[in-house]
Amino acid sequence: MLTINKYPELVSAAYNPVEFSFTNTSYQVGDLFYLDVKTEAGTLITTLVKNGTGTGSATFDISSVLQTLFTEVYIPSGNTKIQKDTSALKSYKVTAGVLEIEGNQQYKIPYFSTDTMYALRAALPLDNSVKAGSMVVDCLSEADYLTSIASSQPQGSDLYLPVLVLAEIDAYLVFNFGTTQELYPFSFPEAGVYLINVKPELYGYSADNFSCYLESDFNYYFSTQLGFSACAAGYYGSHRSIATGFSNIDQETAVTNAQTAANALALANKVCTLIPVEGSGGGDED
Amino acid sequence: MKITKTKTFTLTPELREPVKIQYLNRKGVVESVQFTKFQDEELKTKTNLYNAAGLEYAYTIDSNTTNTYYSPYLTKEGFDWLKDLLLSPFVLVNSKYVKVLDKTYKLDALQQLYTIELDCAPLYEENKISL
Repeated sequence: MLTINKYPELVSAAYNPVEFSFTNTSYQVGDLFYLDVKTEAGTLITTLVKNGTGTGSATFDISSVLQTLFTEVYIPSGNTKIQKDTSALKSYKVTAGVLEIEGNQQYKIPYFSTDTMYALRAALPLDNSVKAGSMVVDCLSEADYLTSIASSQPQGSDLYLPVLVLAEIDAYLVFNFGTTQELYPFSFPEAGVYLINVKPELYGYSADNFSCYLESDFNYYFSTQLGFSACAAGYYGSHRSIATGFSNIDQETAVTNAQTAANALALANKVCTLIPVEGSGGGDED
Repeated sequence: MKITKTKTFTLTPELREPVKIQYLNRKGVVESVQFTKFQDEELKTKTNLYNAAGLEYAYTIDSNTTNTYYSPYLTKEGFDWLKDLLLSPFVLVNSKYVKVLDKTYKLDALQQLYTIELDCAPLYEENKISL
C-alpha cells in the first residue's frame, strides 16, 4: 500500500522543485519505487526509479524532467490583440508505484496516477513567496499576470499582459480611460498562456493614462486545488475540479459542487481499473 | 467579476527610432521593452600572421562586433521589472537573436533613476576571408 505524502500543485514552476513523496507501508529493504512522467496523450517521457529510505519512503523531484518539455520560446508578434504562447505551459501526467522483480522480470505496479497537471516554464523565488497558482485565472480571486511590467512605458511599445488559464473561458478586457470605460470581449479556447497586448492604439484609442483588467461573467469557477482520493484496491486517483454553469448559486457552493463532482470522477478514475495488487502481481503500466 | 488584477499604464513620449528588446522573464513569457535609438557599434579585428622568409603576412582576420544599447531613464519599478533582462539568456534585439556579452546598470542616486546598458554580439559574426 502506497500512501502519498507530498504532491505538487496543479500548476507548478518547472524550474523550482516539483516533488512527489510516497511511503510504502509494506516496504522491505531493497524495494524500489518508480514514477512515470507522461504527456497528456499518455506517451511516456521518462521513468524515474529510486530505492526507498529506511522508513520506506521515497521522494521524486520531477522538475528536471519537466524542464525538457520546454524546447522552444514563443516570440510574440506585435500588433496582435491576443495570441497564445504555445511554449510556456506544458501538460503532463504522473503514474507512480512500486517495482517488483520476479525471476528476471521487472514489473511496474502502479498505485496512483494523476489527472492532467501543468508545468509552467518559470523560475519563481525559492522562498515560495510567489506561487504558480496565484497566476491562474480561477475566477475566485484576482489573478496575477505573468509579468511585472512597469507602469511607465514609451508610447508605441507593445504592452503585453500574459494570463494563465486552465480551461475554456470567455472574458472581457476592461479599459478605463479617465471616466470612460470600454469592454472588449476575448475568449480563451483552451488551457494555456495568452498574451494580451493592451497597447491603446490597437483598440483605436490614444490615451496616455489608462488602467485595464479582465472581467468575466459569474458562471465559471475553477478550483485549482489538486486532491487525491483513495480508490478501490488501494489505488489513488487525483482530482481537480472545474465547475461551469453555476450562475444562479453562490461561488462557494459552486466550488463545493465542483469538488464533489471531481471527487466522484477521481473515484472512477482509470487507475482504479488497473490490475489489483492481490491479482497476478504483474501489472503493466496503463 | 474581476478575474485579474488591475494594471495601470502611464505612457511617456514616444522614443525616436526605438530599439525593441525582447527577453524571457522568470515567469516563462517573452517581455518586450523599448530602448533608445542611441547605440554604439564597435567592430574589433585581430589579424593572424604567418612568417615566410623573415616577413610576416596576414592570412585571416578575426572580427568581433559589439553593439551597445541604452535604456531610457528608468524608475525603481521599471528597473525591478527589467532585472529579468539582466538574467535572461534569451535576448532579441529588433527581432534578431543576440548574445548579450555584458550588462551594466547604473543608478543616478540624486534623481533615483536607473539606466541599463547592454553589450550585444550578433549571433553570426562576419565570415572570414582566408588566404
